Amino acid sequence: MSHAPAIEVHELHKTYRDGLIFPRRFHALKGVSLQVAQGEIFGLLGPNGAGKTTLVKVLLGVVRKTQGTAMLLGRPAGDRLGRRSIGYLPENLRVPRHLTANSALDLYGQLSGLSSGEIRRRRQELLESVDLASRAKDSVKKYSKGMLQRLGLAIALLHRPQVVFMDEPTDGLDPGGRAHVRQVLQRLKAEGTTIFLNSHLLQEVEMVCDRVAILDKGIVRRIGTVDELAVNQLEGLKIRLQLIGREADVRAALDGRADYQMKTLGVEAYELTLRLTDQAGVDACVDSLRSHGLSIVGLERHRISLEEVFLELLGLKTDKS
Amino acid sequence: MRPYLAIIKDSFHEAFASRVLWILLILITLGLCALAPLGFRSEQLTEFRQGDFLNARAVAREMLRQYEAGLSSPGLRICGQLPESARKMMAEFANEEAEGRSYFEQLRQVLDAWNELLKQPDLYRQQDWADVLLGNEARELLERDAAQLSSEELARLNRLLIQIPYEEHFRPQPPTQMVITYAGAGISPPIRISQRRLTQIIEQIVIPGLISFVVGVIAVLAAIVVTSPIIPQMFDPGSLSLLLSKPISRSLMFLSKFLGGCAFILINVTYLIAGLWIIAGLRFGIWNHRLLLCIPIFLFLFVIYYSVSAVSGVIWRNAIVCVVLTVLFWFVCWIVGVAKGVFEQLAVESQRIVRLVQAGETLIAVDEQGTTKRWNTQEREWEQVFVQGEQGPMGRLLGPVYDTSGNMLLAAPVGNHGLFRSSSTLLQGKESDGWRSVEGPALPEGTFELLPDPHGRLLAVTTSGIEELSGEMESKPALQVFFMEIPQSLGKPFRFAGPEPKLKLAAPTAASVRLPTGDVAIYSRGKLLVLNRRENDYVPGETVEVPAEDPEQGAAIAWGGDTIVLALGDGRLLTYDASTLQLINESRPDERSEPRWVVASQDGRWFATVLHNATLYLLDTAQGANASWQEAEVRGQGDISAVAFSADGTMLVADRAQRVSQYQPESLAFISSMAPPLTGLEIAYYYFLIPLHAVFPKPSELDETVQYVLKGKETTDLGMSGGDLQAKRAHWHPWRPIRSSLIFVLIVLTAACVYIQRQDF
Repeated sequence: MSHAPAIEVHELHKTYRDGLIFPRRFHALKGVSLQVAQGEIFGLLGPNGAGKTTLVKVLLGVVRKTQGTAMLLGRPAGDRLGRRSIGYLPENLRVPRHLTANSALDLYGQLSGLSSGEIRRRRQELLESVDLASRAKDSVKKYSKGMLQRLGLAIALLHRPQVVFMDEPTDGLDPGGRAHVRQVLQRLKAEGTTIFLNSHLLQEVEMVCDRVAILDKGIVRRIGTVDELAVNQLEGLKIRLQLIGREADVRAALDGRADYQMKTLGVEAYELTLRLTDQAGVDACVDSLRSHGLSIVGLERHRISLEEVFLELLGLKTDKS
Repeated sequence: MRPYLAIIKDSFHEAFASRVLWILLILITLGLCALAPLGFRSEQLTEFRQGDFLNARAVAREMLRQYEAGLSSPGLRICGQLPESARKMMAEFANEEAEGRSYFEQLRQVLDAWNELLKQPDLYRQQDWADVLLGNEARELLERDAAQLSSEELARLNRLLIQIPYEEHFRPQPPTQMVITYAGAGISPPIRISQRRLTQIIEQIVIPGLISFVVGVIAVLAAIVVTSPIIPQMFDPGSLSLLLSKPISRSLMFLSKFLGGCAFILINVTYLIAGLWIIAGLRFGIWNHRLLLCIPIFLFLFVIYYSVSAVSGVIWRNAIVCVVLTVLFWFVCWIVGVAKGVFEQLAVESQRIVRLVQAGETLIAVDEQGTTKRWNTQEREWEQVFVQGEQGPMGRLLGPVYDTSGNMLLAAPVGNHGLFRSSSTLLQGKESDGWRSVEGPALPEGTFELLPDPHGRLLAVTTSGIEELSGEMESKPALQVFFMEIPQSLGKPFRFAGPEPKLKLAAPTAASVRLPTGDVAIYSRGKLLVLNRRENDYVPGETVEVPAEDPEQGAAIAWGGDTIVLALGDGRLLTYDASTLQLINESRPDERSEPRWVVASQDGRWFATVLHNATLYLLDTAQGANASWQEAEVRGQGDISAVAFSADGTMLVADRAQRVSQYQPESLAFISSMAPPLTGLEIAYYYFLIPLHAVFPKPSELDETVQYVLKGKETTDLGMSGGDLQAKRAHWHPWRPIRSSLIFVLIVLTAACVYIQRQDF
């Protein structure tokens, strides 16, 4: 295995043209740059039309880039040899209706360059891992959406790819199935497989991804760990305090700060929510409240969710904020 | 290759998983089961029918003459066994010149009487048939005890006893007749053709027609509809990205899908054609392995249509659009083919020159319709003169022969299959009268060729020998029989010039004359004979058997100098020494076709043959033992329809329908050309339709490839020529549709591959 990044994209542009005589242009990617290390689970987030699918398709070689570089395991994206090391689970996977799970794995395995013997050796284990072993000989016509999704996962992993692209992998799965997929992802990560996850389920991305990129209108708006994103985006910590004392003292303690919210809980009892830059700011705030004679009966440090970061970044408000 | 093979293999899985495939396979099975009980049985030819005779009156007359003579003879016995009333009726039939309905009524009654005799167990008396050569079949039946003969065998024996003495008045008939059966029961009236001819018709017409319709139309249409979603489905977003993410070439993936789509038709066509092959073999004894070669041909036919469907699927990704565009393409191909065929018939084929005759200073041409034309050197065009031909495919013009003594043309239109071929009228046209056609005397019975004699007059070669036109030509109005005219003469303008005893020639026949000696060479059903001219009469000369697989095949003959060339329907050209009839050379210049015309130069050095595939070959006898047929390097090869040698030794070659070019035969140097300006129709045909047709795919013409594959030859008479080698034959162009369609398919698939390769999905 080379030590090159699993995925390396630099100043990637993609412009679609539509129409022969008077072609209209649409810039789907506008200079995207990112790197995904080998063995990493990387999440790509973005609203509809952000360019996520285009980026994945460029990396898979389904769509041609207009400008910039896109490398996969050190090879140009779309290179046929490079594609041998890629697994892909598309969104809304459609498996031809005349196939069974076994024959589908046979077909796609051979398309990936596996021999029939190799496929037979891998097939059973994979179908067991996605809980389809008992339905292996059934026509896919009889499969539910969740079963098809699990079969797609098996197809994507059949040839032991180094990089797996997954588009909404838990779509259509029940909570148990989702948990099962998360386990599979963790196992793959443990095996050193790089996973590029494209999902709308922000909580899931938050749960499994090492790093996340947020793409909007063809531009990477943020990239990093979930924590880094929260800090970078919201520039500080959010804390909640339950206080007992006079309101005038509270306001005096905050010394003219405007970025707080105060809610009355009872007679001389208040809940105070405010944002601070760092822990030193928290300490200073607590000191100031205490010096004004206020009793602190509760202090809660609030963790900022990825969803909040996402919505805030895209300029959309949430109830929580 | 593994990924692409996997795609193809998957297509087979998909086909087998398709309900439509199984429905079609069941339908094919039902169709084959319905065909399987078909068969035929051979029955001995016994009963007399009207169509058996060339001249039934002559038979009756001859029988009665023998009866009245009272000497031992077949006629004495036959008429003696008939009741008095029947003899009277025969006499009326033989002597009266009844017309129309009454003629046929009398004939029917006479035949009924003769047919009654067929049941008689003691018709044969040795003394009555002592002078008759009865032949093997009759002798074998006679050697057996009459009581042991079945009723069918007895009837056959009696028929032979009645027919053989008067053979020259009968049409050549096979000894058996065929009845089509279904599950053993006869479903057709007896058909008077040989088993060989019946199997030829089944092999060349019925099976190709059946396959062309069932496979070429129904199965292909079903396959187009069924396979139309395959390519659009490939572009379904849910499966395309997964496929394109695999380490495979997009173009090869598309081509594999395309090939896989052909799996559907391959399964159907293989099943159907293999089934037909087995039925044809088991039920009709036709084990023609070439039939199996139709499988790849029809697969290719489907490939042509499917390429259009596939490229439509790539661009529009919609199965309905695929079907609509493919059917539209089918329609356009059909229109182009029909337009070309119609223009070809109107502008070219009906005008095509098939014979050239030098009449003094005038060049006379005969076209495919039997119309004669004169080359007008001033106007540079062909002028219709003499005969307005309406023969069509079933007719033929005997002659024209140029009568130097009277400076006139002589010809006779005859029908190949008509009842009255032997009773045609001789037409004459004098140059002084502008070659206007005037009816002359009736031709002698059984005339099959008109030739010039050494004095520039006419010889009619008949099944009995040579008749020479000697008297003045006069005629009386034709006899009206039903809706036909029987020409008849008042005087006796023809004189029988020998040989004695008279010949009994059986069709197929051909004849040629050597000038200036006037000797005549005749081919008749596997026999070549020479009649030598002594003074004004003919005496038998050398005779030689011509071994041939099919005795019913047609022939053409040319005699020049000391050489006779005999062209046979099986494609062979036999060269004989004229004095000894020793075979000098046997060759088959082109395996794909057979000769139509063979002519000799007057000095006997050059022989030329035009094959039915419109190619011209030359033989230079001056090269002696090394002489061989060579394809002539003249323009228009592949489109040549006639050849002749003029009196000055130059060679005239007709090509491009109406163009006649003159060459020096030794060097093949071009001398001059007689070509009328093109008409509007011809311009449209040659400069628009021909180029369009050339570049257009021709799926409908793959029928010609099928015919070629089944027969192994480019030309065939489809069993319709009746042994006439000069009758126009169907000329298949087996590789033309393959070539143009293959180029089309390659272009379409390449365009689809380029599109897929460059397109973002």
